[in-house]
Amino acid sequence: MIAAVRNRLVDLRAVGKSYGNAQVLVNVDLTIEDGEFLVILGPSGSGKTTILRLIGGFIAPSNGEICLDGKIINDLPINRRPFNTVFQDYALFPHMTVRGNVAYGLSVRGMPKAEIAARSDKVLDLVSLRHLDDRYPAQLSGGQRQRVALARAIVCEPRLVLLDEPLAALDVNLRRQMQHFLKEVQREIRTTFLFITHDQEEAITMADRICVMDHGKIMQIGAPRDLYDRPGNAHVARFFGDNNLIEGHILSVVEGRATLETPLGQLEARCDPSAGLTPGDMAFVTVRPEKIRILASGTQCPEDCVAVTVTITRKEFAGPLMHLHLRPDAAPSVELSAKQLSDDLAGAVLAVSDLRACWRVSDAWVVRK
Amino acid sequence: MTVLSGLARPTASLAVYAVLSVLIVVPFLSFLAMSFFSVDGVTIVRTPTMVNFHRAFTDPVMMTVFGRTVLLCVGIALVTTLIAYPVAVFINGLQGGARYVLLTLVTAPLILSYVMKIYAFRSILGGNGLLNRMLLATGLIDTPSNFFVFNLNAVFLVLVVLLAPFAILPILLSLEKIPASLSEAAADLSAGRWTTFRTVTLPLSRPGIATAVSFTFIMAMGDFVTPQMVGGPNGFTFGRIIYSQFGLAFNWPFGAALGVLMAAVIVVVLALAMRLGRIPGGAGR
Repeated sequence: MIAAVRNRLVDLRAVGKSYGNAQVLVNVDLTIEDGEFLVILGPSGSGKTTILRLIGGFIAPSNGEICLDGKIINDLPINRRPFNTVFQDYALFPHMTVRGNVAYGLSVRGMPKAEIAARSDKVLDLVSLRHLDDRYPAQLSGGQRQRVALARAIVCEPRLVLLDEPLAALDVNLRRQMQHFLKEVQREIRTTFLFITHDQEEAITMADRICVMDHGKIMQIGAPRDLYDRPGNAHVARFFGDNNLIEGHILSVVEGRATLETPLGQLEARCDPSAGLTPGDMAFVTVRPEKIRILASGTQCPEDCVAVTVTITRKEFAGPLMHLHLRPDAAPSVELSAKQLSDDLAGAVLAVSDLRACWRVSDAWVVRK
Repeated sequence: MTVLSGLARPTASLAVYAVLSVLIVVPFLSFLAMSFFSVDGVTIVRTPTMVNFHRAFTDPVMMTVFGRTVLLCVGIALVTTLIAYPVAVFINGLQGGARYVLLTLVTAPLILSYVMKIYAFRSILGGNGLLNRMLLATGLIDTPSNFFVFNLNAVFLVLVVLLAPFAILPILLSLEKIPASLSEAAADLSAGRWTTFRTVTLPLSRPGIATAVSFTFIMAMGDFVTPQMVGGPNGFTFGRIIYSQFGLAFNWPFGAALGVLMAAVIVVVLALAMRLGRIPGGAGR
């Protein structure tokens, strides 16, 4: 993948937000690059919406600086910031038509009527709502309202579009469609999107970069693939997709490879050389369920692999995938889960009690506990 | 969730309609019927006649007082609503304790007896009343002013003050219903405070404004106690005339006819208010 070099659009420098004694955001540093689709992912109460509201200017930070193009904008009021928001409840003006809603930002700025009409038309076409432009919000479906909210936000050609869990209220199918649609619109208008969600699948689908948050702190920022393959800590490893975490302490670290002493014996795995892992540290070996292969005991294990003798405790058929719960014979307290293509698992293999779970050392990754 | 089931539901709604009919529709119809009767001495003649309406429309005094009263009450309704709106906006902007303290202060006068409040006003407004003494003390006037003493001005002032809660509350209710995110959205789309107010808050509070105007208008029209107590001989209103037909002149049919006229005006004003209070797009319902 070629990473495009992008300019910094918005910078958060050691930004914190407290309400009384409750600190909802703790000295966060975050850069939003020009033109990217940045997703902030976190459970409720993680501070993700607070970041959006700080950038939008709806609330003021308790400490730290918010910069646009390198200039501090802490004191710039909402209506003077070149950002527009798609609110979680859409916040459409109920007494205005679709066109009235879309044109609002332009007419407030005193733009000539002809130009307002032309620009509204263009955006209404983009969201395919031109034929409904005289409807009121109450007469629209959820997905249509969502598109009006988006049109209203992008018609002013903001530098940054802030989207506060905009798909949370939609049903699954519509959600998928809208994810695709939002992504398309973002490419089309080449504008930076900051998207808030608690849904990791949504984040993976849409993001150029994901910022994972928890308890008011940023856990990790990176491309979806990086976060998936090389989580920076146990939280990200757990929160971001299914994972197996095997606890142990580090015996040695050599050039991006660590050896850990675990209940399953000594395990080798890749690690981040810059993470500062040192022998003696408590850590987890993480292995994605789809990286584990089930072999009959007689079968030869590929090279540079870890093999563990296991018993299958539970099988869940999930369409193309079979979800297996495994109990290592060496450590019955550890539970491993594996996902295999159902077709790959011959019934014969499953019938055999003496099985081995096998994964490549390069598919295992160490995170600090 | 429904508490009533089977036949209980239709029976209950029937009961509700029955109570409403007995308490509102029947008296109103009997009033209407009464307006077509006449009196002979102290007995009511139950032969249909238009004599009452004829008298009401031709008597110069009736029509003058009627017109003056409608104007007075329109004025009261508008001024009360104009004063109430910023108060409601202010209360709506408050948070927590201050909000409830103010809300209580606004509604507290409603607990007091109406007559007591008017007596209080008499002592404030009189030639030697609190208002005059204060104005004299501040040096704004040299001699006691009669501007607010036993005339229509006094009626206007007292009714505006007494009816203010009835205007503040519906406006506050409609303001509360406007989601805070709408003001945020307006600001987000570059609108300043005034533009947000003009384009979002004001149009969405229309139902509250309409209710406030119609409430105050109806109550001002129907009131005959306040004009009686602070209006003096010059502060004659239509309500007082109707009252006098029942209480003094013992001409119930004529009083009823005047009452029907007043009701007709009120119905027109209500219909107008309902139309003006409608938000396009069906919001606020």
